[in-house]
Amino acid sequence: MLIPTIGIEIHVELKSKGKVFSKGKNEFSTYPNTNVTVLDLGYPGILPQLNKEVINMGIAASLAFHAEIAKEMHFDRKNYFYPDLPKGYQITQQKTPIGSNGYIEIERNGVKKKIRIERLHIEEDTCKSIHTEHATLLNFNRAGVPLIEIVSKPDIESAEEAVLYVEKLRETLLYLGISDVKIEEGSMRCDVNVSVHEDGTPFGTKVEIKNIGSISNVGVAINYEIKRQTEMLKNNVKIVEETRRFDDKTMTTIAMRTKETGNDYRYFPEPDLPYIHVNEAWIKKIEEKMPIMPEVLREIYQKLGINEKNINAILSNKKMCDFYEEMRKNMNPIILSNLLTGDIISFMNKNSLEFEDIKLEKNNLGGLVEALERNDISSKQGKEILPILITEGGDYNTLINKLGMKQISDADSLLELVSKVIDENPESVIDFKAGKDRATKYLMGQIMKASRGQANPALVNKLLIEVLENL
Amino acid sequence: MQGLTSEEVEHVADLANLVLTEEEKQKFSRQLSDILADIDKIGAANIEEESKILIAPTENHDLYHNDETVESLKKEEIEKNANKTSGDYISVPKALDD
Repeated sequence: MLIPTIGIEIHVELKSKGKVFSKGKNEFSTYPNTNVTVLDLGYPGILPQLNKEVINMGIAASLAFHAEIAKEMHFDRKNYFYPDLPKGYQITQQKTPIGSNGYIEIERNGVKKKIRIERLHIEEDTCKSIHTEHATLLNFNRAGVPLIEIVSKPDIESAEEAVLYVEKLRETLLYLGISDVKIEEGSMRCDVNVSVHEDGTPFGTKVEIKNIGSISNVGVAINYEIKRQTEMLKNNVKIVEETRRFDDKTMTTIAMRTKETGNDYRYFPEPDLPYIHVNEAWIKKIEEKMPIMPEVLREIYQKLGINEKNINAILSNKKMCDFYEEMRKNMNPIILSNLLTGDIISFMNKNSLEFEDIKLEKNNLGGLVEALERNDISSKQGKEILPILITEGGDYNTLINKLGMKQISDADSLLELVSKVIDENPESVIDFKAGKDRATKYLMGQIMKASRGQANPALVNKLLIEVLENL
Repeated sequence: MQGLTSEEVEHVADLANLVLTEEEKQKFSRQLSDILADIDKIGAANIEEESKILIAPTENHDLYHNDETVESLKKEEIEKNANKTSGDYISVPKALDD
């Protein structure tokens, strides 16, 4: 039985205002070469200056991933010759990564597992190169954008675990608010190392897979690679250490052309940047500003009695989750979670809207939740009101009255209705006496219809049975 | 300190995408060996505490910018030092060896 061993390296672009070593704007632009300084272009004689906010973000990420934070850091030069880096080296943290020995806890089928993180380090992004038939075109907007690279230990044993790890990592960074973490847009990039080995033997030769464009394709690429390597070993073909790229058209991995000399980056300390010291006070300051992490919220929601489906839906949308956090303390959290994850998400999907695009006035939604809790209105009526509240806004109570929706929960007036409908349907009474269930259902329908949907169904049902049984 | 071999010079040249003649290889092998020998003298200095070695040639530390931004260079300024441009891009000979 062959066992897969998987390690993942993730690069994440940080959302600081300025770049990591220059004051160029760290902003996405559709126009090439419009956020560029001499530092980003790598001109001779430049002197980098470290952006403090990037260190703040690095500390926050290290804390979130339970990593030890380096108290004294410096940067290193990684030397290589390629046009995406005109100065001939990338400034990175080889020797003193800001975070080390952290972990991410994943949960699969109720079983928790820690995936260890070897290191988190800060580095600069390169410029973006586009290869045409005859030339390589360079866009320096991305040059110098701060990156955090997060390297896992080879603790991942399946494609499913890998996907869970990447999802958890993404969710955490999203909640920290330090990156957009959109793999499709390149603000998160995943490189995966895969090897297979026989149980009880040393690790196999690892193959690196690059260019994976979505989280689900991380799983697809790994499964393909496990199968490919397994077949090779079965046929006694030696696996070579190489870099392959994922091709999303064929859903396979393809060998990339590799230099025979291999990687030789000749790292040495970056003399242009002085030492950085991080003390406990600085860490504490960041810690105090840390948002509540999704894993903590999950536990809180479980205790509130929210179902797993609703919890997942709320946590997967940061903006919605912020809204829920603000609202849930003042009203019934279960009803609120049902509204958000049911009717509101379907409204968003139907109209192709993001959560932040919809007008949800807190007071009005609160009014609706309370009305539902008191059974003033039925959940069916809630469904009708919600789109109007979203599209038109306005005061909840005025709207209810305008729509004539207030639920009738007054037993006397309901009893009047019940008696009237029973009088009109003597056949149903006979059916009821004969023990036919559908008779009650039919009568219920008639009463609800007569009340134009405003009758409190639970109360009507109770009254109806009472009257029928006493006939 | 032993000098750099011709193969080592070749390797370094290859990393920088440089093609050297036999003559150049010998010349650089000599020059680089001299440089390394000089660096060895620094390495031989007796420093009691390794932590006193400065990586940056300054005693200043913890110098930052505070997430400030400046306006971008203008298109003409960016293109001034480029041999070739194509639309808004800087164009270089095709490089495809990942």
